[in-house]
Amino acid sequence: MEFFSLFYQLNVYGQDLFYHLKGWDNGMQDFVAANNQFPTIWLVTFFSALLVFVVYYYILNHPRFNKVWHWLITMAVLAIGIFIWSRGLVMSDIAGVSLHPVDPALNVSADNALMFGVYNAVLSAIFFLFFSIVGRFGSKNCKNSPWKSLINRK
Amino acid sequence: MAKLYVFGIGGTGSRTLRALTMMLASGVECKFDTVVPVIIDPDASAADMSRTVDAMTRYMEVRKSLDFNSANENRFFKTEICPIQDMSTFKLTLENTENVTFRDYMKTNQMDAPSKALINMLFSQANLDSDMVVGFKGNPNIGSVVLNQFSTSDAYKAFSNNFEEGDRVFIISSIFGGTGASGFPLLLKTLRNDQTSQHWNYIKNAKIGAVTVLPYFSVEQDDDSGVDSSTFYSKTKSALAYYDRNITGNNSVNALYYIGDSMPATYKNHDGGSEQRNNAHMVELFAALSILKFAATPDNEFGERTQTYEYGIDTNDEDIKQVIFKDLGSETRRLIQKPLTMFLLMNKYMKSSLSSQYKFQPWAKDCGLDENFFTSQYYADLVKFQDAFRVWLQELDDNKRSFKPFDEDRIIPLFDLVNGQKAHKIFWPLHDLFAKNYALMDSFLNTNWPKWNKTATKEQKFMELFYRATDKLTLKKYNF
Repeated sequence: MEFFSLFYQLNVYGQDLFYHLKGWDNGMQDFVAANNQFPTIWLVTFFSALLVFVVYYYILNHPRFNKVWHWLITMAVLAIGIFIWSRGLVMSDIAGVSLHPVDPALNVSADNALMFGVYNAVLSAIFFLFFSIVGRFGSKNCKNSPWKSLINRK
Repeated sequence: MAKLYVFGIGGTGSRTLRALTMMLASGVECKFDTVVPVIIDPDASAADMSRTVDAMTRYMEVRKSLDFNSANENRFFKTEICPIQDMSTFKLTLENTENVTFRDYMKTNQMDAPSKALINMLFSQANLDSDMVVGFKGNPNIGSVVLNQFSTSDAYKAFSNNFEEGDRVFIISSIFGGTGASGFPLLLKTLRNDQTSQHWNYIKNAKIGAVTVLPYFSVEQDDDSGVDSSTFYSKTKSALAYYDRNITGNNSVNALYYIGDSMPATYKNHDGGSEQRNNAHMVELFAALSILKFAATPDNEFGERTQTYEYGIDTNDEDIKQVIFKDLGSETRRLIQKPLTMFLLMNKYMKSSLSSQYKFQPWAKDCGLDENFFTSQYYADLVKFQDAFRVWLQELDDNKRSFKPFDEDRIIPLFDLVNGQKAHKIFWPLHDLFAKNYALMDSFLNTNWPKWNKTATKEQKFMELFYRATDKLTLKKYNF
């Protein structure tokens, strides 16, 4: 099982959608690597979370934006953005206007697109939480966001 | 370590000591590690003296929790202020001045006729009938008799017992009042001529400086009051003639500093007591600078003859009504501009932002500065001192020929608070570009400082944080 699709194994957004995103070609009855969208989806999700983390902790790094609800707002903004993008990607595949239209043999609907959007949004939030735990200690003003840092130079 | 004994005589002495206390609290440099103030004032209830004693007492309370070893950079409250060892008070108490008239004090009823006649010739009936409960009411002739007692007082004995080689003495007095004008020459004569106290030889040979304050205020005309400001200049002339012969003329002091103001403020006419509460004046602030100047002068720069100094501000406008930092000479600005600004920034943050931010900011969480700390006696003492500092600044501003280096009540933009000084924008790091006003102060407080003393007490950490943050902030914002 290739690395990127490992993160999308949970069957909450439909098996057929999983097959589609992994590059199922009904004619060949196999997955085609060129049609595998998981690497792109994962990379966009991962680096978006990283960018938002860097912006929050090291660029904005604002002493009036370092409380737990500010952190939650930031995570929510990230998750909402990823949701919109992920659902839109699947919807354009369903509509057949993208590079990877859904094979008619696969049963992929708008509900699946919605659930995939939610799934990927949650994944982005998990990435953001991970970065927050391991990478915040150098942040001058936000190092104790969302909770008190264990590393204390004072 | 050598000590600097500072005698503040009369109301001007008290108010100058108050100015000195405020400057030392803000970290203005004093070359002596320890300053020992002694207040000489027969008016036990004088409001100016009370305020000064309160300020110095609270200074001591705050300072006792701080540590000034090499690991710490903090200079707020760095100079030690303490009373003479073996004494619990800053005041030199005068005996037999309460509820007695001057006549009774001199025991004229026990004198023979020729002595009584001499007394009646030297002193007016009003002088003789004068009670001394609020001081000498602008009569140095009375003061020159009564103040003779301090060489035998307990405070002077304690001073002499604790005086060590290398210690110095500084005397603050006005030349136009009653207590200062009489007390300064008497005290000086005692210091140089006394051979009965324990360390008289050290005292006799010690470096002694003095500031004599010429008229800088007047009082409203009041026929019922013993104080008449129309006599201030004539008294000044007489006293200056006396000093020329008996102080600078015989080189009794190593350095004598003169200061006054040609545009005197007018105060309410109160003989003394709790109503004699004059607003702080910048002349007292500059007089206090003479103490620091004297302290910074090395021994080998004092010659055989008295060195005299006069203070002036750096402006062509003789009628200037409001003085700011830019109107001061470069040496004065270098000495006081940065420390006073730093201390005021700390004060404003504590008053306006601290209570809402300490629960969220890393600087407080990492140092364990929690509600227990901010409700502690130490913090309460610091806040009260800071309040007194703001009152002092406000009085300087309110006075005629005001000193208003700060727009103290400015809320935002916070860093426009130094009058005549434009604050620079900080562009790097980026987060300091986005943070404004008190948020920027938080950002500087949150800095991870190198060489941070992790084992320091919370009181020390708190002061250290604010010193370092305001130090860096004033450098970046004002370039001083």
